[in-house]
Amino acid sequence: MRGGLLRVYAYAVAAVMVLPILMTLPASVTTTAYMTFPPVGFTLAWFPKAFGDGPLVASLVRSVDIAFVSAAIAVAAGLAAAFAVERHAFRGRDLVETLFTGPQMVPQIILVLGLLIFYHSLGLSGTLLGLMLSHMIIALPFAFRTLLVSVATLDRRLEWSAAILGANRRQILWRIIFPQMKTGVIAALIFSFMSSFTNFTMALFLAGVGRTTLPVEMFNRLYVAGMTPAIPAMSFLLGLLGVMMFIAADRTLGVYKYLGGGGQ
Amino acid sequence: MAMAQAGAAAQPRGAGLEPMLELVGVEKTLGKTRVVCDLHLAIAPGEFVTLLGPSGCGKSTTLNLIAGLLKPDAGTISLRGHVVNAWEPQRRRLGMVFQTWALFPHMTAYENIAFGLRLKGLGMRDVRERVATMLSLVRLPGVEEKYPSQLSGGMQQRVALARALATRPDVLLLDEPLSNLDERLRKEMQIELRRIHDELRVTTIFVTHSQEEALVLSDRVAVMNNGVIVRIDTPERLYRYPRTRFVCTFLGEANILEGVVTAVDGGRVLVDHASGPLAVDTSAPVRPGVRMSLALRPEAISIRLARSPDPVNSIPATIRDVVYKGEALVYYLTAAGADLMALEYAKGGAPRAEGDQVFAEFEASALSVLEDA
Amino acid sequence: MTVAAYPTARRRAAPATLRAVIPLAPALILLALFFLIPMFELARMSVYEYNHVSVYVPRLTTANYRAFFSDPYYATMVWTSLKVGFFTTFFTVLAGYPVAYYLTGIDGWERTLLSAACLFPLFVTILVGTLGWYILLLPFGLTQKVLVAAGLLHGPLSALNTFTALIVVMVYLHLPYVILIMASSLQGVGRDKINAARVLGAPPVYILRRILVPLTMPGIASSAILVFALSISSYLVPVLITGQRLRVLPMAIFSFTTDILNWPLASVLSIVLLVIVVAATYAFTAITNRLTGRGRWEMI
Repeated sequence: MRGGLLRVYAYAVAAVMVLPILMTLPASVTTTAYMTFPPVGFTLAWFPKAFGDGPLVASLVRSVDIAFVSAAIAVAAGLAAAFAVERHAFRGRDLVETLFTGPQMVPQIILVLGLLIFYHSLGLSGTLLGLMLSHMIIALPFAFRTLLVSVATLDRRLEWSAAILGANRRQILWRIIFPQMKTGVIAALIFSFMSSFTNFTMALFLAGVGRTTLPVEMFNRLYVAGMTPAIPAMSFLLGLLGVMMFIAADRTLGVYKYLGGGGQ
Repeated sequence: MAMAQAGAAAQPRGAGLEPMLELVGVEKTLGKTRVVCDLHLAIAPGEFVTLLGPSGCGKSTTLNLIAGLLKPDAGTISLRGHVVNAWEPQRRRLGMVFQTWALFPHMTAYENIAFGLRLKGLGMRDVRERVATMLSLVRLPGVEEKYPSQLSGGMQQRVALARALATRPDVLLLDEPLSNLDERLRKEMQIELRRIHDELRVTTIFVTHSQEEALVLSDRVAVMNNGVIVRIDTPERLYRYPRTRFVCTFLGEANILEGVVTAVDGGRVLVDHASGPLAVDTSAPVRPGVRMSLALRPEAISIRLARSPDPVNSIPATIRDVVYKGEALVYYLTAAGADLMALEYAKGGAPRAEGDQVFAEFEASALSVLEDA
Repeated sequence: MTVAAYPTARRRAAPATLRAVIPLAPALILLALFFLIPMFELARMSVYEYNHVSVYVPRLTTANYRAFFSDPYYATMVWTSLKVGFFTTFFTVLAGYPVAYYLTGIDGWERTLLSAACLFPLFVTILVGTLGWYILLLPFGLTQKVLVAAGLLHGPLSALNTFTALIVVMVYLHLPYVILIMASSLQGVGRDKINAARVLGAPPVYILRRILVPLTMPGIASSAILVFALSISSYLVPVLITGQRLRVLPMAIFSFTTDILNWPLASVLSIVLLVIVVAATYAFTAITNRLTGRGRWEMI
């Protein structure tokens, strides 16, 4: 029956999608000091060793720091912008909206070169600040779009009622608007954070020597030197973390609602 | 239950012919709920049957089962004598109109209607002819080249109907097709549907929660609740003799009076009610001392300022409220032991006012015995 | 695109006072500084002179572009990039469409878990997914090396296998985008229309061809454009999976930027890449609009 074939196909695809992370597990339990497949022997030692690896952990911490700050800036700027765009008509509003999609539409490898050149003249090359801002600009379109949807679905009648009852602008903002926006803001923060944390291209070009983010550090180990089974171990943990975050996000927020758009 | 299910009292139009559609013992569970329970239904060719009931009673699910969009968990569904449980919808030669009408937005009205015809392999000339026939049937000539987004709600609905009927289906299924129309349009379409049905005589199953639609359109109405058919009968008989409290209050308004039988004399029974003795015409076998519930329709009550010379039933009451409805007046009365609602068609003359002492009078035949006391 | 739950949201927006638009300023400044200006700098760099001592000299020249267009090496690179883009896009959309369709028919835990699996590459760094495939392909890579050493396999064949491996990994990484966009698009079509077609007698393939695809064409277009843009600008995957055997534009951009330090030429390559993406976007949109006559009707 047709329905059955479709389900089999969907589950087969799901299995293939999960395959790579499953591959990192056997690769991380080998007793050899280099990565090999099939694994030789069995040991879980590489997991704690991954956290003992100085530069690796440093890059992890750096990734988290950058992700926090860039997400915060992107969401803050995006929130203010979303209100201004949604609530007011002005000439060029469509142009502004198109402008916001820019950093997403332009392939990152192109944008990052432009940033590199620009930073060079500013003296920001290889700095953490420069890297942070580049992550931020990538997250901004997404935060903006998510928050725009959130602002558009606010019930303005609640604000009008509050105003009639005597609330001033600040009170309306804090006690009427922000509670309704909570979900949207959290969604924007989570997705901005993830976009920054998983970003590879920006740091590849912009990070200073010895000051890379986690994905780039792992890449350098793999491609240049310093590869050990600690890398697949770390990969596996990252994968696990990602899955858990997704499930949490979907059960509470509904992923399709926020990420889906752009179809019709 | 068995008596209600069989619908034995109501002979379908065309009785004696083999049923066009028959459901026997059909069950369906969705999620954790038994949506359809042991359903039995037999529909004769050319009949217009309405499945009527509140939200969640299983009427739409039943329709989807008949269409083949859902498969029953138990029981059989037969079309023209063949058991079609395993048949895909494509095979069943049905026509269906959805609540959302489900027109294909990227096709013109012509292409929508021609959709089923092209699948049957009809030649271009036959297709054009049939589409024209259908459009004139639904009184919508000239919209062939329009897209659904260019048509009003009423027009879209007619195109959906034309599309469903184009392939000359054995059975037409209608799932609350008028719900998305405004009041006036809905009434117009009710008459249109009746006319089209009279013209084509297609076996039709109509699903609605509007009792007015059910009464206007149907040869028979199947009243459903919690997944079972509570009663199936002609609109007249259902309205006059609801027989259960649920049907009585679902179809129209009713006053429910309770009392104890005091005397039985042939076809007439005397019931003792708080507001006085009531005379009831019924053939139900009762003995004195039995409790009885009676249904009384508001329009059967006449309001009199003074007691009639020889009333059958006359209850003294005070008018509590008068509501003006344009074509009628609704009186809310307080009598001893009962609050009554009466409806009188305005024929000129001064209406009674709040506070008036009146007599609510009605025939013995206006009282209908309810079986589930 | 604007989701207005209440009709007051958009059409009757108050005319802008300067004060009301001020909140827009921070975002606009950020965009100007970290998007517009860098893009301008990039364009400008592409017409500066290359100098292997100071990287570039701010003198205008068309030498870089002439070098690009005259050298067949770059033409091959563009061609390879295009192949990667088209094959990836084609197979990703093809593979993802049925999955998205299935996902619209389920909900609850089944949907969450299945989505978690299919959208997996999205919420981990691409390195995790790519590494997994790298490990998976290691034995194959090894096998290849052995076969070549034994003289049983020659150059072209391994190059072909490498391309296939690359496309497989690319499809894997980009499938989530297709699934997300198509799921939303398919949801917009609605079950009723599909059911109506079934009752009218249409077999599944007919429904796909004449109902689903036309009505989801905007979704197909936007997911295809997205996958194309992402795949031809990917650096990590070609580098890791083909080990420099396949040369695509991003690899050249990287090596010119960080190794050879010829920023002007790197900029030229970036501009070329951008032009390709923009051209593909327009072309694809125009084609799909023409195919479904979109201007004439509206979704209901």
